[in-house]
This record gives sequence, structure tokens and C-alpha cells, in this order.
Amino acid sequence: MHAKAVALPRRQDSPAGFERLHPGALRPLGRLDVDLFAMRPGKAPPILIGARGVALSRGKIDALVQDEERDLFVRSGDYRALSKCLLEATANYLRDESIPQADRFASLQIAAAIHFERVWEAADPGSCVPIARRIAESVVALLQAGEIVPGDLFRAALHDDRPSVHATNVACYAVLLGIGRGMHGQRELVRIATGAVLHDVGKRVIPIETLHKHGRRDETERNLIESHPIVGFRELRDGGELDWPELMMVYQHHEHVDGSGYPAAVCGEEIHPWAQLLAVANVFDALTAEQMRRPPLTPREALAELARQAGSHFDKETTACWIQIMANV
Amino acid sequence: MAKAWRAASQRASFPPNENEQSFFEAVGLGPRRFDSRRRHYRFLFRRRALLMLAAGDEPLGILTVDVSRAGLAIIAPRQLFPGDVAVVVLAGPDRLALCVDRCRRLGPQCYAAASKFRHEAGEAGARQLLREVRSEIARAEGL
Repeated sequence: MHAKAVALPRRQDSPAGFERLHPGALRPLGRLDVDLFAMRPGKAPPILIGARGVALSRGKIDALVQDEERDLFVRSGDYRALSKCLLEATANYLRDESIPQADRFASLQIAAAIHFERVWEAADPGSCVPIARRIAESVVALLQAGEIVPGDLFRAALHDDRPSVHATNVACYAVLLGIGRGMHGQRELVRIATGAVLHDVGKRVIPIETLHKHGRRDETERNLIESHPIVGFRELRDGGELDWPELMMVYQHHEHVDGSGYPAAVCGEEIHPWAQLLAVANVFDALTAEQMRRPPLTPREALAELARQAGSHFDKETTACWIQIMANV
Repeated sequence: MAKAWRAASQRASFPPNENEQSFFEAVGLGPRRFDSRRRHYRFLFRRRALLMLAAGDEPLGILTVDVSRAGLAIIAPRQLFPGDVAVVVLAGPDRLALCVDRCRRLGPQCYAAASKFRHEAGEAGARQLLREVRSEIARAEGL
């Protein structure tokens, strides 16, 4: 694993009706099937810079990637179409070494949105394990395809509170952490990524207004939110498609090593090592994501927060490993 | 049952701030919050019992806490998981088929688990259990 210093990602809220994307995510596409917009910080609204149907040359995308002063957006209504285009092209770009690995991850993250929609909306998420497995296999194939630069991955990834974005980021971080902890078998890494993709599936039953509520949640709302590992675990266990360690990732990712977590308040070695690994990846992504409840932390601030809670909330060695992986971000 | 319970390789501890006497002396209706969404009253039902998780597994020595028409709350000596299916063996012929709903650690060898009765046999056993508990409460209250 290789880490190099990169600039901190610039962050600005997405304007209403638009979804942000990393320009590198467009590399697998030969032409634009959606309108493309750009916006400089504080200069809303976004302006059209590429109409649908326009050819996308490598030079044009390089220019967009290099222009760090502008953020790129598509209309929210077009995001699904873009996701579908990238999903159809997945097999072509996943192992295409002419495209930077981080850009391939950005493409994959958008492609996964349409896949993840099916997981999130299915009556029985257990039946969606094969879909989650496919996302996981893609993430692992991508991360095993070349030299990993965590900073580049972080910069190319989206950081908002959509479930598909959180799931793919956490899957990527969990695999990086798994590799950092000495796991190299593809099958093992795919299982870790699958557990990570599905870890919040129990949140489907929580009303959006409760999940994104501003201010303090009341006891009933807290109980509902804290039930999501149980709900997800039960649904997926009944489906019978996941192994026990994957199920433990779903059930125990909010447990703390000192026993102050939920749902079971178990401590230390009672928490499965994969769940301990996921806990770190999950909180890092939650802290660095744009959320309605609070502004995002920079990676450095998030790592400091993780370090502060190492030994109480998180396993010390796992946290130290993650801090080392992300040290130069 | 006391002998079988003591012979179990893992036995539940009493909850923090309770001892054997205070735990087993408790009788009556279980606590009920004003905003409770429970459908059925819970009756305190304090016994030693055995929990069989799967055929061939060593039985666990558990403590029963309370019972309602829907299920049984227990203290187990180790973590149980939602969806675990088990049979509780009480003194006498009673056996209750249960499905664990949730479980929370209270202390070492002390895991509070809520469970639901599994099927008709469980419900019939539960009805019998409830009759016994009600007469026990009536006796305790001198009715």
C-alpha cells in the first residue's frame, strides 16, 4: 500500500436539484448522455458546460479534473441515467489501467447507486445479497487492480449522506483496512465488502425525517435508530445468504470495545474483528460526509476523533492501522 | 432443576445490583411505562431454567425474568442473537419453544434477552405458565 500527500478536497454544498460528481468519473464514457454543469464556490447557480450528446475526449476530462476551482454537477433527475450508463460500462473500465484507479472508483460509486436502489427498496433485502455481492466484487477487483493511493480515492469519492455513497465508501475503506490488517484473499475481502455494503440495510425502516432530523432526537427516535442493526441482521439472517462474519458486521458495527455501544452492549473480543474493522470505516465516512445534521470534518479532524476514541469505542490496533493508511490524506 | 442448573457448564449471573434473594423474591406485575407499546402485561417470573439452543449443544443455565402472553424475558450466561431459536426447560414437564428477539449485556455472564414464543405449543405452554404465575401473585398478595 502506498500513500502520498494530496490536497484536501474542497467541499461545497450541492445546490438544490443537482448532484455533485468527480470529473474523473466520466472517463469511461465516450459521450455525455446527460447535461453537465459546473459551479465555482459561492457562484450559484451552476452553469451548463456540456450539453447531452457532446463527445467526451480524454483532453476535455483532463481539463475538468485539473480545474480544481470548479465543482461538477448533474441534475438530480439525470443522476439515475448517468448511473445506468456507468453500470453498463463497468466491465470495460474496472480493469482499464489507462484510467486512474481513483477515477474508476468514482465511476463505480455512481454506477453502484442504481444497484443499491434495488437493495434499499426491496421488500426482502436478503434477496438482494447477490447484488451487494456484485458491488463488493467490483470494489475489491478495483482495489486489487493496482497500487492504492488512499488520498486519491478519498478525493475522487463522493461524500454525502446518500445510502449508496456511504455504502460504497465504507466498503472501500473496509477493504483498505482489511488489506492493511493483512487480509489479501480475494474471497475474504469480497465478504468484508459485502458486509460493508449491507451494514445499514436495517435503516430502510426508519423514516427519512427521523434519520435527518435537525436537533436532538427523542427517546423513541433514538430507539428506532438504534434498532437498525437488529432489523438488518434479522432480515439478512433469515435470507440465509450471508456468512456469520458478514452478519456480525451488520449486527455489531455500532458496538464499542468498552461495552458502551448498541444494540447488545457487548465488549472486547465479543465483537467480531470484521465488525471492529467496519466500525472504524463507518465512523470515518460518517464524520467526513456532508450531512444535514452537521458539517463534515476534514480527514485529519476525523482521524483525530477516531484516535481520541481508540480503546474506548474502537479497537486500538485497527484504529492505528486506519490512521496510518490515511496519514497523508 | 436446581441440580441440573448447577451442572450446566455456563450459568447466568444475577443482574447488577441484585442478589439471589432480591431476584427470586420479586413477584407481581412487571414494570410498565405510561407510553409502552407492549400488547400484553408482563408478570415477574423468577426461576432457574435451562436453555437448549441446538440439538447436541450443552444446555445453558439461565434465569427467567418475566413472562407475557407473547414471550419470555431471560438472563443468559452468554450473548444470544436475534433469530436464535431455543427451547427453555423449566422444572416439571414444561418446555417452551422460543425465538430470541434481542439481547443486551448487563454484566459478566449476564445477558438480558427478550424472546417470543414460537408456535402453538409454545403458546399453550405459556398459557399454563401464566395461570401458575397469576395464582402465585394471588397467593403472595393474600387473595
